[in-house]
Amino acid sequence: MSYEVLAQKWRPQSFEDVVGQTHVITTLKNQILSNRIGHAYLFWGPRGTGKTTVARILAKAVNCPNRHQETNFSQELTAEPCNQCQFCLEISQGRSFDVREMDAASNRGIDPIRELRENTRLAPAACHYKIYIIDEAHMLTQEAFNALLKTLEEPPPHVIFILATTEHHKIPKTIVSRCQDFDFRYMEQDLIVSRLSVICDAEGIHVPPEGLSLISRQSEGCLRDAENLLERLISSAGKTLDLEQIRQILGLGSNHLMGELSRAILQCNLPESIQVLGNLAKQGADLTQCLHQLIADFRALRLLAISPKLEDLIQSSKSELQLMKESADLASPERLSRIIKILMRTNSEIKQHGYAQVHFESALIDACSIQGGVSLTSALKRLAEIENRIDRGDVPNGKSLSESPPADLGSTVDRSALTPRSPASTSILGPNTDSKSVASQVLAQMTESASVNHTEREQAPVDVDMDQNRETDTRFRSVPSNVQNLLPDSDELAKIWEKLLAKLKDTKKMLLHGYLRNATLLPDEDGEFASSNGGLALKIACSPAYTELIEDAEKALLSDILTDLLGPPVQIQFVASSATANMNAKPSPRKTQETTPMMLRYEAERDPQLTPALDLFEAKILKIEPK
Amino acid sequence: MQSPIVGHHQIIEQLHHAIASNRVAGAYLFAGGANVGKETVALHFAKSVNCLTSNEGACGTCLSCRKTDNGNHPDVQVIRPSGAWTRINQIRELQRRIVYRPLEGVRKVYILTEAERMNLEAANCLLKTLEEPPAESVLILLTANLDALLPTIRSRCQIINFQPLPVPELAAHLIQQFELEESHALSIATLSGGAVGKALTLLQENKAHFENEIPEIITTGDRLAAFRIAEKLSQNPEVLDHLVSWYRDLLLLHQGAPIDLLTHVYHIESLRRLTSRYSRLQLQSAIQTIFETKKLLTRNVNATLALEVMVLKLLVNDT
Repeated sequence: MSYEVLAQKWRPQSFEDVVGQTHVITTLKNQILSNRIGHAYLFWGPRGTGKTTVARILAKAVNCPNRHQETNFSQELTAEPCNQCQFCLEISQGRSFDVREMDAASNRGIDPIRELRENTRLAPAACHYKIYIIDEAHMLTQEAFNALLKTLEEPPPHVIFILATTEHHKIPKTIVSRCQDFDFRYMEQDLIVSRLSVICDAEGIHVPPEGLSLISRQSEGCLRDAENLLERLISSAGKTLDLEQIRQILGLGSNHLMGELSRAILQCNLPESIQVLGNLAKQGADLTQCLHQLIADFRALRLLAISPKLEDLIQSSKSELQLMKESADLASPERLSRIIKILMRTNSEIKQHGYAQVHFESALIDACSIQGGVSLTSALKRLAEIENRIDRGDVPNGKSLSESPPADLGSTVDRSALTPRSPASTSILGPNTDSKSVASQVLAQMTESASVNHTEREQAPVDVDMDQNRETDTRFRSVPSNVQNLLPDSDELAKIWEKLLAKLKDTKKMLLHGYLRNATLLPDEDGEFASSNGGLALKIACSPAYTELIEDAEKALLSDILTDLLGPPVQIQFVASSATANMNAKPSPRKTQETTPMMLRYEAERDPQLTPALDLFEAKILKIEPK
Repeated sequence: MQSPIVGHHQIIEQLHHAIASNRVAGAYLFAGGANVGKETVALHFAKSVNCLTSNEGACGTCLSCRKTDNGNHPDVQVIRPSGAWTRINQIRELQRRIVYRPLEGVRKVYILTEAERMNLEAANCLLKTLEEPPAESVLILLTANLDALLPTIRSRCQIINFQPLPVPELAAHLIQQFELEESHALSIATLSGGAVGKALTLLQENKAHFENEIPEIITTGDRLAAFRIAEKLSQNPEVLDHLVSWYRDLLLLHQGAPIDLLTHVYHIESLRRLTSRYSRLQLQSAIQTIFETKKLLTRNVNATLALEVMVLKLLVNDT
């Protein structure tokens, strides 16, 4: 007889042998004992957890005539099949007439199901029940499922259906509701280890217990995977295996090197860690496996760093645990978390692009560059501290500057002399940082009275807008002394104006933005509109047509924005833009306007001489021809 | 023509061991990068299983071995994707035939290349066959992407991982077999990423005549050169792999890693000078950029444009 792999050879033949899945087994056993066998079952769960196996055992158990156990005095009924009678043997060998195992993935159409339905009508040939095991049921087509519905709902009394699948969600609800639903779960590692050791004992295989737990960890809770791994180990290295051999064949890299690698990362020793990685690669270790292992190691370290009491959650030997505890002292949970995050990201990158070594190295570089690691909470705490200090005025800030009387300009000079920034760099005004500060600085000095108001204004927003305030602080400090003699020339005002326009746009005042788009901001050099309350007076030169359209509320808004941008309160006046202002001191929109046909029509319709005439003749203006 | 298999000693030994101790499983899954030698090993395995003279390994001279070599052994069949996918009909055909006894050999061997390209129906269809293959048959699935396979398939097979050959080993083999110069062999070995098949293809196409010098893209800061470089790259995009290795070297040097891990040891001095032009993050993002571009190139993009963007991103800003 040809060779069978362990997973096949050791497929359980009785309920007792099945590993785990106690919730399923107990229910089924009770059903058999109390003779309340359902007519349709749906077994679902991950691969390698025993669905097909249990289905076969169930088929045997319901058909086996010798289901009793010899006890001291009498025979007791059990749920276990005897595995010796003709029926059991036939079913085990897959040659029973009455137990049909159907590969639904290969026969997924409606025809095989129709044929099956025809057959259900016939009585079983020899057994008590006729059993249909429909494996990989998720691959049946929609039609096939539907063809099955009526039969599944009320099958002949001698028929039992067992559907097995890994993908429960692909089974139609109508099918699920007609079946008894049994979910198979991933097996616990202890169970897998004990099963493996049973197999090893029986097959004369010598594997250390750590090796078995390594295999069970690799199998992710699927017994068949674990058995296949064991098979692979035996077929490549014989029946006596040590831990290093196992690690090597599984591509895990030696324990020793993995330990060195995680230590090197913890010590931020980059050259060492890359060297170790190189050695691992040279050994022929599978780097993605190593990465998984490393992630698991760091997870364990993180658990230990959070609390040594969590060691129950870590599966490793005492000596390893001791080593880990020592390493865990080296790092904070935050740092370990970040390292884990880096490794996880690398894992997905390797999956996407390949080139495990390059990505792994890059990850090591990242991981080693994380020094102590600052937790978010402590960073926030520090930030709050700084804010408090600014609040208290520990740092030289705008408030102290504005409080100093303008006569005492020397202090400003001193302060600016202390600033690290060179005057040269500030004299080139950046469009969005320094212009504001220079302008406000200059403006503060321009009018003596301004400083009083400045103080009032500056104090107000302190609580409201800490950030902006701090920004202003730094700017005030950075203003060099040589700028103080500058007048706010048109360049700076133009920049401020641009900002104002941008702000209008941001706040969706598009109409106002449109009016002012071509306007300019001018300093009030001749004092024409000298402000009454000591504020700053500015002129907005703008096309006269628009000045009349701008409402008072909007004017107030403009002056508010300018005040925000400049510091001292600002009063604005609209003047005609220079081109038109030269022509007319009091510009009237009618005459200065570029005449468009629309405007001409508008004018014509309201012309005092023309309107009576139009009324009289009930006429319409069709065309206007300028002279 | 009998050529020995390069590398994978451990795997071959493992398979021979299985044959010798009569522990040949019914289903194997060979996983490893493209052109790394999976199919070669699978065919070798098929020969070894059916070899008439040798009990361990394939003699290569008996009738059975020669038939397998020539692809007309009735019991050895290679199933490749038809078009983009391996379809359910091909699997059904396999299932129909696999139940018969072998005609000449000891076992029927079915090799399914590019198993990740079985479509969902085909893959599911294969499940029951994989789980309990008929006696005297072996199914060997080959895949470059283990994660793309159904977990239910993976769980039913003996998975054997193929690692790419270490570059020095491959280079040594190339030197020995083809009498190449050392630098040429090294550059081919690097470029192939340790995949023997790829190295041989490169050698045959004689494409590997890339100047074994530092790529211009690393040394120059000239934005105008970018377009020229990109055009060159678009002619043979494999160079991107090569480029990654250069940036990796720079990164390792930058971080003070041990020298023996570098790929381009010959250029260590000039590389060292270059490292000062880059920061760690620049180098890392450069590598990332190359990978992203590689990914893009497999999709439907304008290759030249993508490469130009990449080159512009990679160029050093001297300012």
